[in-house]
Amino acid sequence: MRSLLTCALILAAYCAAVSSGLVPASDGITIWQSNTVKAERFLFHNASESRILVVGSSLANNIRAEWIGPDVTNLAMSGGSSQTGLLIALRASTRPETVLVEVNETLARSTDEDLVRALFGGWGTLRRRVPALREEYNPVSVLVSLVKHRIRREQPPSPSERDVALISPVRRTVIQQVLKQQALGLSEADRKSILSGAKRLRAEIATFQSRGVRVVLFDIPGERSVRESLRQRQIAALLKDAFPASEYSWLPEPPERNWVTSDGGHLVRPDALAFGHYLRQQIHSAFESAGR
Amino acid sequence: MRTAFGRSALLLSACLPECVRSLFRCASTEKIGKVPQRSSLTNPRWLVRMTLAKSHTPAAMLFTTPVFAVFFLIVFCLYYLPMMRRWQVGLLVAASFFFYAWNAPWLLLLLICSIAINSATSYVVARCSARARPVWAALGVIANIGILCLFKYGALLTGLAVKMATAGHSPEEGLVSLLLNLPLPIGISFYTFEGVSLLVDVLRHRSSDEPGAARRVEYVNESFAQHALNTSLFVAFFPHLVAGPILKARQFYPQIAPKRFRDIPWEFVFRTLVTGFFLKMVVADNLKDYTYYIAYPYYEGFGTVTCLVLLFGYSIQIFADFAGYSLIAIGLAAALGYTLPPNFNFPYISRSLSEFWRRWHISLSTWLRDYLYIPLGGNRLGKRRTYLNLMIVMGLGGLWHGAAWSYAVWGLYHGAGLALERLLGLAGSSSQDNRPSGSGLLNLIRDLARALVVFTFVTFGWLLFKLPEFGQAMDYLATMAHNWRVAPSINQVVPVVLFSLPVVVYHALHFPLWRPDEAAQISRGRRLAFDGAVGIMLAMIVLNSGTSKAFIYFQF
Repeated sequence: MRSLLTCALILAAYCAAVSSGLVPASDGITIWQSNTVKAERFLFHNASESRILVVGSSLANNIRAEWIGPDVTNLAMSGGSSQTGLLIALRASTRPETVLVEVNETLARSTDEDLVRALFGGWGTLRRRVPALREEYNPVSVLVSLVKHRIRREQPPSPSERDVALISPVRRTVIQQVLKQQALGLSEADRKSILSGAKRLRAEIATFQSRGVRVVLFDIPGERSVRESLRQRQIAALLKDAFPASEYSWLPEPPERNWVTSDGGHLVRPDALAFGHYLRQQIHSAFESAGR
Repeated sequence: MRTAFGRSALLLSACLPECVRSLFRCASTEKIGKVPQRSSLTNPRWLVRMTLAKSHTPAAMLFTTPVFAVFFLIVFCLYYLPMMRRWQVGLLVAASFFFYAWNAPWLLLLLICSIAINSATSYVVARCSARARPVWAALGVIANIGILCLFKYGALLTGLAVKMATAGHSPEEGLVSLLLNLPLPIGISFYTFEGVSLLVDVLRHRSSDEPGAARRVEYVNESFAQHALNTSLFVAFFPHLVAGPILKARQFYPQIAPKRFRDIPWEFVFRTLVTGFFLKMVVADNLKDYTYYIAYPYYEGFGTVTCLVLLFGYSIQIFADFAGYSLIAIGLAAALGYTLPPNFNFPYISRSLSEFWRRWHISLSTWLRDYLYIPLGGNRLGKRRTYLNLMIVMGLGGLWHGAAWSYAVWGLYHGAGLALERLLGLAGSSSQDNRPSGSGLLNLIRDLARALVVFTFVTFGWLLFKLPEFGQAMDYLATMAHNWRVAPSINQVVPVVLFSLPVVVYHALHFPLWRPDEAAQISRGRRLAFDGAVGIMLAMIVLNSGTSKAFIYFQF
């Protein structure tokens, strides 16, 4: 009885502390947690306010929503794919004006069913009503985030990061290894996985379009040498077939420049910022042309 | 698996953010097999593929899932209905079969087969002539060990034979392929050992009847049908079925009787379950997200401190995972009126390896002692033979954990440690386990230092569990020695320390600092503190549980 009373007191005190803003929210300290925090914030805070939604993998996750513009929510999932973000948005019955969908080989990854179940099951409903139970208020995450913040404050992207990456021997070696892999071309198993992912994505896009939402596809730019490799060209062709420009809106190719990545796939922060600004321009001009 | 992609990933792990590593994690994840097409049914590998597909989610239910909570609630309510009292054993057997077959129904066939063999042979051993008894018991033991060897070591031994005969080129079809890809039924190591325990206990049983009277083993029922039902419960009782504690026939059978709701030890059940769920859901399930990085090639970018913290974190995780599971099993069984033996007794405060093995996975170590070490001669045949016996028992104990040579090396590592400890006269007796080696600060410091040495020895041994490829385990140690200039990673070190802290406190409170008679007196203050701790654990289960994953020991 005393144990139950102690537990009830602790929970009540924590709920009160969270509600009164004494407990700072954490962005999550693991990949799964970060994805969950992002999805919960979208569902519980800004699902109805988001005009533009970005879904994708860790490649798109590198691009901060605020770099793209106001009223933008980035639901890209590290280690995941566009399907998960789209499914969450569909289950939440949201109607953003535009959904930007990252389309590349990450489509081969399956939807994160565990995450979706956690968000929309009974526990998810309870979390909606009791903020203290949300992943962002997980006590240990809050504590670790505070420690991290105290030790090292995050700095905004600086052009020097690009220079540091360019001279990194580790990066060079990694990209060489990636190029070797990419030169082997697309295997039949990978082709099937990508096509199967594309099929699921098409169904989700169709549901969104039926709700009057504009869906625009895009890919994250990358290292030129990697983009021009055999495997990447095969994947690009496959995806253009799966999502023909006659039926789907594609974002124009970003301006030619020497995009720098840390590993052949993920843009370094200054370049992620530049691509974010490019997305901002595209969205702006698209809205202007639509008469807004 | 040192693929080119893997090599690139290892170089990256040092300098890339979490999100980047996730890409590599997904890319290197092995693909799960698919359910077979009709034409492929002619190929026995469909069975393997089906099992691999299922291996994504563990066979049997997880104690930490809502579906298990519903299952247990239904069983519990039915079990204590007055009209069900006569059928309690049958109900538990049916529920246990349902629990086991949850994700892979066909595995139930093997469990039933094992139960049938053990029921029949133990029944015969209890009744046949003194001459025939050892023969029947031996046949039963051989059948049990045969099943275990086929499913657990078939692939390892076939692989070895193929390597020697065909220079590593393994065929893709036929019997050899089937053997190489045989699935490992969950809990097989546990229920096989229980079957052996039943047969040996029945064989060894000394009847208290009058000389000349027919031999009667109390726990082998006169009716074969009833004995088979009791044996089904003994082997398949769901709280302990998939990961122990390993039961002994002589301890369990006498408990099989009608149970009453009013006899439930509620306080014990509550505390045991809360502690078990806390260890599993808060400590182990959270630590696994960090100890995940003890995988090739992620660790290669970490510094010495981070590698050490991760390794000690894994040591804590494996304890929390397995001890948590055992406590949940003990609590659930107590709620159903059965007493399961304790499996852990604060192992990380052990001041010698011998003490560690008296405190860690107690049901396995006592099984090995009773059914292997003592029959081999134990310590009765001289020093050299004792050391040899220790090596044999620990080597086989290591292989019990998994069909990989690294497990055998892990066992031999412990065997060598135990032998060396005896040689140096450092192995204490069980009577000293709960008392300090003497009074005074010096003795306390000596005890603490010895506990630290044993904990470190054991922790380094777990590396072979985490990295079953021996080369990778050595590579981890090399990385630890080499990367001493690399700064500790806050993202890993801080959470691991925080999640390990409860287990450290849990152990520290039981370190023998005071005399046993003082320890035995539980003051009101301590009781209040204990209740408070249970309350905090319960709150943490609500607020800070990790993502649910299968228990580590399910794989054994």
